[in-house]
Amino acid sequence: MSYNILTKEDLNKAKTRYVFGSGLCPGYELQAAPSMVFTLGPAVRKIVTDDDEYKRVLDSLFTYYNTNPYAGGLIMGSCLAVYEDANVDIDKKIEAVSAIKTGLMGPLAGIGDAILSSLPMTIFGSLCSYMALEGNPTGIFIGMIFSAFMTFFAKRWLYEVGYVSGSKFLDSHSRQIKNLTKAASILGLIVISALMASTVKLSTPLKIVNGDMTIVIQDTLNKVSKNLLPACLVVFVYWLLGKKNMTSVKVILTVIALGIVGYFIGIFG
Amino acid sequence: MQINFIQMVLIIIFSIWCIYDYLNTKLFYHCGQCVVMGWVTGLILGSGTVGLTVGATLQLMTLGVAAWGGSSIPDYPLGAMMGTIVAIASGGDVEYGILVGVPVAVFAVQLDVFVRMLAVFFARAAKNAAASLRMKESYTWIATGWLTWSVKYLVPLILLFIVGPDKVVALIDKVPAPITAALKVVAGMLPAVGIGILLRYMNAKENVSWVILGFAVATYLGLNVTQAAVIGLAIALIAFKMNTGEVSVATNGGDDDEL
Repeated sequence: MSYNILTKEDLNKAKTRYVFGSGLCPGYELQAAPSMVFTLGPAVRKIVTDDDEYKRVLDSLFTYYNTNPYAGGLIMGSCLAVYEDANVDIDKKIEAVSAIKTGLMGPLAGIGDAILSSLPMTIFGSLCSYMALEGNPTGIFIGMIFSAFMTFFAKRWLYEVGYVSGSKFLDSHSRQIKNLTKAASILGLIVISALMASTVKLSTPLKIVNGDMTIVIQDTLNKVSKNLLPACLVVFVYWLLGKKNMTSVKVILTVIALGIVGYFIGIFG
Repeated sequence: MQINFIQMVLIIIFSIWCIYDYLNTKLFYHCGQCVVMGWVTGLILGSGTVGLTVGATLQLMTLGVAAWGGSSIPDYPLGAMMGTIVAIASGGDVEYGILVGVPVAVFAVQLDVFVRMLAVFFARAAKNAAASLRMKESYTWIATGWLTWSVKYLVPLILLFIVGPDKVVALIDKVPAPITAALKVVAGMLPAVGIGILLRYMNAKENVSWVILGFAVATYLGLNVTQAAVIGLAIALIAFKMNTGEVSVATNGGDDDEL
């Protein structure tokens, strides 16, 4: 799909700009769009030499854009390939790039955030935390090796894949990507649910005194299942998150309030 | 313990690097930002272990809580830095670090909203410059736009240095014991938020059997997270193979040609 306007060196430069500048100017309104201009700008200038056409390209790039930065490499690469296509006039190019941008950023954010960000963050984050609690910083370096691999290899590789396959990538691989997402979410769900048992801590000091008999509620709960209260709390949070206009900040504040009130009326402790 | 000027400067430079890294290269992204930031702050102040413990405790509260789609979330990594400074000032008591870290993280949401608005001006300036093809200027605006985010760390840190960590320790000592105990309960509950978010993210409702399995191996068999991850990996591989096996006949021809 290459039309040989960009040399290998140009492409490498574009990738390097993306590796070191995928989130340079993140504000409301445009989000990652300025970064997209920063990473694509010089390479596109080499392709689009006419000043007026280049202005229009830049104008079209300065519109809302936001996705997972690793998966976003696919978008960068595809867009670059579209600009380079000599058979298409500038209007069609601008239109096609906007379509790739707006069409892919949503799905790629979903897949990328789940598999490439959340899941590894949770696994390495908990590994690293438990080691750190024992005074051992080794976990930090294990995580950093993975991060470095993602930044310096995966980001570039996805950029290359996007560039080589142009806009067709997601069409031809949508099935594999779906499968990968499904498999990864199985791993994710098992890890996260296991994490719940070791990190969420909630118990009750309640006792029922009946003559000589004292029933410790927590012991009764443990007989049903260990970690019953933490599991209930997670289900409550899960339900809360599904409510309209609910943000993670509101949920955090709710949990803080619940904990403080629960402690003072004596049901949590 | 007195923090000298060089230590303050080092901490501030490190915090600015962390902002750049968080937004772009993400080298601290997967290994628990709180742990790294607590640890390095601790090392600068002469006690890496306190930093590790404060960072890890805060990290476990926030696993899974991430700022997707430009949303603002509590900044626990900042909490880890501030918490570590105060914990070391108190003579190494991690509890002080947690008591400072959690509220700082929650209040930092306000600053987060502010810096994201600040960055809008840089983005607009870049757009204006690009409209008249002053590309060098445009790239400079973009390349410095992330610096607006460092305000989020500079304001609380400098404030802490001016007030003095010792004063903060003295202030915490005046907090009545029941409140500290209540906050301990809260600290145990907070990880539920991140877990809830992740479960929603991965559509737990439709895949509830994996949730039950994960809960069961950890609760009844007592496996830790890494051990559960190995079991999860095995099941995920089987699922992936089974799913792609069904379609491999259909896709083998068409796909490879296009790549």
